[in-house]
Parts: sequence; structure tokens; C-alpha cells
Amino acid sequence: MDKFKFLVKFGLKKRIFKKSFVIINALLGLIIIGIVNLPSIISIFQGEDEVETLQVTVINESDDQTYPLEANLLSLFNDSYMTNEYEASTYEADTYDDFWDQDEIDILLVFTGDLDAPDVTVYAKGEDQRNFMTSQIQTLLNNYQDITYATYDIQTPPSTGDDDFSEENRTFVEGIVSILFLPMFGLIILATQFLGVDIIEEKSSKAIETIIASVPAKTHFLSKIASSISFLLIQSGILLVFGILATFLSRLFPQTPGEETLSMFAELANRLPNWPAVLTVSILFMIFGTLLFLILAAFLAAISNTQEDYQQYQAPLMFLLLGGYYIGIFLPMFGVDGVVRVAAYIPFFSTIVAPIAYATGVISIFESIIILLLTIATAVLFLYIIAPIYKVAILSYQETKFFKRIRFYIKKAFSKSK
Amino acid sequence: MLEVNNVDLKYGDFTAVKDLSFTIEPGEIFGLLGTNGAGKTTTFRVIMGLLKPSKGEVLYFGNQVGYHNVDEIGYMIEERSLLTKITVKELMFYFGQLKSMDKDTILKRLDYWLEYFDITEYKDKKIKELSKGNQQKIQFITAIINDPKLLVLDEPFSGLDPINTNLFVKAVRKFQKEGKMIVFSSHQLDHVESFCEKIIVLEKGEAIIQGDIKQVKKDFMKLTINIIADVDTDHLNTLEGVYHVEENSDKVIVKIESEDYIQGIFDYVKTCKNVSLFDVEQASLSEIFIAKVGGKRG
Repeated sequence: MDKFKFLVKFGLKKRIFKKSFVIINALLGLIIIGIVNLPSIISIFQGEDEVETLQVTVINESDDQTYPLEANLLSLFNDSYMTNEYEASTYEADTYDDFWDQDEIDILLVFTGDLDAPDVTVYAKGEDQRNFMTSQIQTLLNNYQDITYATYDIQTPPSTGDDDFSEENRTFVEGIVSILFLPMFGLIILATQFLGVDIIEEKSSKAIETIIASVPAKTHFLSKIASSISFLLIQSGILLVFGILATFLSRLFPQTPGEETLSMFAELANRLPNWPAVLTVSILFMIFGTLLFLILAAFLAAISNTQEDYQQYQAPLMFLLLGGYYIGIFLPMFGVDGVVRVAAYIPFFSTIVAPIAYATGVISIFESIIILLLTIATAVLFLYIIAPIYKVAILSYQETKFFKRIRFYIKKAFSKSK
Repeated sequence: MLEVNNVDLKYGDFTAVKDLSFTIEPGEIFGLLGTNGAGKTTTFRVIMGLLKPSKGEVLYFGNQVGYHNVDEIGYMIEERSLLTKITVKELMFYFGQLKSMDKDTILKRLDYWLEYFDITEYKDKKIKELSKGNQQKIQFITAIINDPKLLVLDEPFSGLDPINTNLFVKAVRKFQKEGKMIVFSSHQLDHVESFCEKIIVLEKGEAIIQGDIKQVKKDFMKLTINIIADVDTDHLNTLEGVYHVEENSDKVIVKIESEDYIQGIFDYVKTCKNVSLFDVEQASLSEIFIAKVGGKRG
């Protein structure tokens, strides 16, 4: 069996076939399902207290002005299974299209033509309400005269001019971004920690000498990185499955027409039309950005002699990651797009900042690709530089100070190769 | 056959190993001796291919030692080098598979050696739960699990009690009988003396004694005479060729420069009363080691 594959498999098994892994994932699953369905869960406990009163205006411009259209419709609405209450109200805007700019009326129905088979223009702010209106109008018409059918013109909110990403949607995405990128941030920390601890465990126990006597240091170095990346992908896959499961479960909660869509993911998908591209960009940055962190973590672990050394040395790495996360979640909210754009180009920061900048519309897909290529190039450069240092440092136990130790290993690594 | 040919290893201006050459034939046990920091571990690392010599080469059956033939070599380092959080079985699977072994073979050999060392009950125990002595046995098993043709053992007996030392010695003898090459270092010179055919003594990376152990002793010339008789130690000290006299509770030990002086001492002892022992023996390896290394340092 190929020793590289064996080492990757061994590292992966060591992390996955552990009770702690199962327990943490079970908890994560519950948390994700809980967060995604939080509004639904709250609404279950709120029960009947949470009745919303919707203001309705019915304008009858049909041929039968004597028929109490508004009164009958409101009676039907309020007798229905909907938990909301419907109240007649006067529409005061100049035109029907102004409906979207006012807050007083929630539903506006305009009947024209022959009331036996009227033309009905429906303005309603929620999609569920729009569907509910058509079913209730049909019941009313059936009561009015046998079975007749209306022609519906269902109005939807106008576009704000920016078809892909409205200001409202951007605010929503900015608000939710810290929650969405938190698992990614956590996963990178987890993978980096695992890799470092794994290497330093072998080095501090001196088992590394027996291992390097069997496999080249470079194979060991790459296998550790590969198993951490594999772990990251598996863990991301599990989280994604939990997300899908949570969305699926949200459909099982009792929802009445008229309620807003309760799943956070569904809401996000509505507001972020390019979500497949955002997801792809995020996954790619997670893989290649993490690669960068892992290479540096492997280097720091190799120059450490003990677990304590490694915990101390890895602190700047964590600051880099934390810095990227904070830049990514806070700066877009303050509208400093220029700073976010610059940070997105800086390797290490780019891992989290670039996908957030793309999701919030600060950078384009073209820029995202350029930054990704830059991240990959940096990772390759780091691999090229760090692999020889790793080879020298992993079997050495220098007790000098941090920078002196690094200088010593660099000198030894590159003087040997001459 | 393992050939170490004119190996030099330098770290900048510091020479860790200087012009070292020796060979080990199949079925031979080779002892590498030296004080702390003499270059023993560095030599082992060079043999294992972990360090690249500045000059010279290490050949294993005519080929450079490298990752292509490392599966046939077993290596036990001086310090405990075990992953303590996993079980004995998991550890053997790990190290065994790194030597390209399949799990069935690893398990079969592990069972054999656990039985041999009488520690079968520890198979599923975590390494950290084992005593130091048992950890050392496990480390020895990790080195031999691949049934190596060349066994490199750095201080394999350190910290072991006499019973376990004997078990290790027997295991090493077993490998010798099977035609394996064994090279080991030890501070316990009696072990080296008891089962090494050839030795090399390193001091500051340089070989100061080298060759067949019997020849080394013969070349050393100096002898020890054990005497039980009513002798005058002050007089013994004045005899030609005597450089040290020591009186024990039951006997007198006389050190002489060479066999040429035996007759003179024997002639004197014959004149004394109550003579019950006059025994001439070669210098021990320990004496040779102290004399050579001490002399070199002095």
C-alpha cells in the first residue's frame, strides 16, 4: 500500500473514529437544526398570541357596484384557517403601483370588468398571501354565481434597479454573514489545530524518528496536510448535510399561508440569487486558503519541540485568521468597501474576506477568481519554501529562541541543498 | 552486507563523524561504543539515511541506503519514541504499515513477540498505561516487527532489569542465528563483550578502537593477575611491569603492562605463604575503553 495514502488514511481515522468527533457532530447537528428553524420553533410556543392584523382594501370597479364585495371577502378571509386577522382599510395612495411604497395597507385587490368573470389585480406583500387571495376570491365567485373564473393579474414588488443584489438584500447578507462564515472559521481553526497537534505529538514523543526512518519527511509533511484537508471536507460535508436536513425539517413545521418563509437558508437563497456561485467560491477559498494556513501550521509544529512551544508559536496564525474573520464580518457593515477589497487580495486574510466580499457584492466573480489564483500561487510558493525546512526541523530539537531557531533551520535547509 | 565507507559528517565547522569505515556481515553482531556525544547516534542516523554524510557512503548489499530498501531495516532509537495515546496494537499497525506490511502479518508477529516477552495482556492497552520497561519492550517489537535483515539498536538495554535484559539478548541472538545483521550501541560494556564479534569505539566522531573483539583485547597487551596469598602489596608495586595493585577483601589484583612480566611476579608469589590463586586474565573491555578514551581525553 502506498505509504502516503496510508498516512493520510491513518491521520483521518485518528480524527474521525473518535467519540469526541461523534459527540461534537451530534451537538452541531442539533444546533444547526435549531438555528435554522428558530423562527418556527418560537412561533410554535407563541401559539395564538401571535395573531397579525392585516389591512385590506378591496376596490370594486366591476359592473356590479351593489354587491358587498369587500365585506364578503373579509368575512371569508377571517373565517378561513389563517391565523391572521383581516381588517378593511382605505387606500390613500395616488396610484395602485404606489402600493409597494406605502406601509398602511398589506393587501390591495382591484376588481374590474364583469363580476361573473372579473379581472382581479392582486397586490400583496407576502407570496403566501398572494396565493391565499386567489383561492378566497374563487370561493367568493362560486358563491356569487355558480362556478365562474376570474382572470388574475398578480403584482410582485418592483426591482430596485440592481437586479442581482439590492441594498436590502446586501444588508440582509451582511447581517447573516457572521453566522454563515462562523462554521468555516471554526473548521479552519480545527483543521489547523489538528495538524499542528498531530505533528508535535509525533515529534515530542520522538516517534517521528522511527516514522521518518520509514517515509521521507516530504511525504510525511504532505500527508499531514492532505489528511487535514480531507478532514475539513468531510466535516464541511457533514455540516452541509445538517443544513439540508434542517431546511427539510423546517417544511415539516406547521406553516400557514401568509407566514413568511421560515427557513433561514430558503430566505438567503431568495435574497442571494447567485448563491450557487457564492457557495462554490466559499468552498474553493476554504480549501486553498486553509491549505495556506496548514502549511504554515506544519512549519510551526516542525520547529517546535513541545506542545507548549507549538501553542505559543501558532498564536500569530490564529490572529491572522481572526483578523480576516473580523474584517470580513464587520467592515462591509460600515461600508468601507475599499478596505474590504484590499484585504480580500491579501493571502491569509483572503481565505475568509474574499468569499464574504463576493457574497456582499464588494468584489466581482472575476476578481474572486484572480484572488483565488493568487492564494493558490502563495500556497505553492509556501510549499516550495517550507518543505525543505520541515525536513531539517522535524528531526531536530534546537532549544534556541524562536527567530534564531528559524534562521538556523532555514540556513541548514538551504545550505544542504546546494 | 552493510558497508560504511569513509563517512564524514559535518555541521558547519563541527565534525560529528570523521572518516568512519566498517562492515557488518550477515549473522554478525556489531557493537558501537563511545561516551555520550561521541557520535554513535549520528552514525546510526547516517546508516538509516536520516542524515546525508558530507563524505563517503553507506551501502546495504551494494546499494545506497534509502527509502527503497528501508523496509528491510529495523531501527530502535535510544529514547522512548512511541505514540502514547494509542494502543499497542494500533501502534504496531501504524509502524508495521509504514514498513509496507499487511495487517495479518503484523498481528501474527505481534502476537508472537508479546508472547515472547510475556506481555500479551497489554495488546489493547494504551501505551501510556504501560510501565517504562514494558514500553521499551514494545519499542523493541516496533523495530523487529518487519523481521528486518539489518537491525539498528541504539542503547537497547538501558533501563532494563537483568531478567528483561536477558530476554532482549536472547531475541538479538535469535536474529543473529537467522543470519540478520545487528548493530547496536550500549554503555553496558559487559553486554557488548558477551555477544559482539566486532566493535568500534568512537571518541569525538573518530574511531579509536576498531576490529574483532578478541584481537582488540590481545592488542591491548595489558593483563590482570588475581592473587590469593600472603603477599606484600608494597613489594608488588616495586616489581618491573606492575602499574597498579589493588587489595580486595579476598584477593589482590595486579595490573601489568604485558605478558613479559608474568614470570617475575609469579617468581615472587611462589616465595609467599598460603598461595591458593594465581590467575592471569586479559583486560576487560571496560578497562580498554577507559584506558583508550581516558588516554585520548588526557
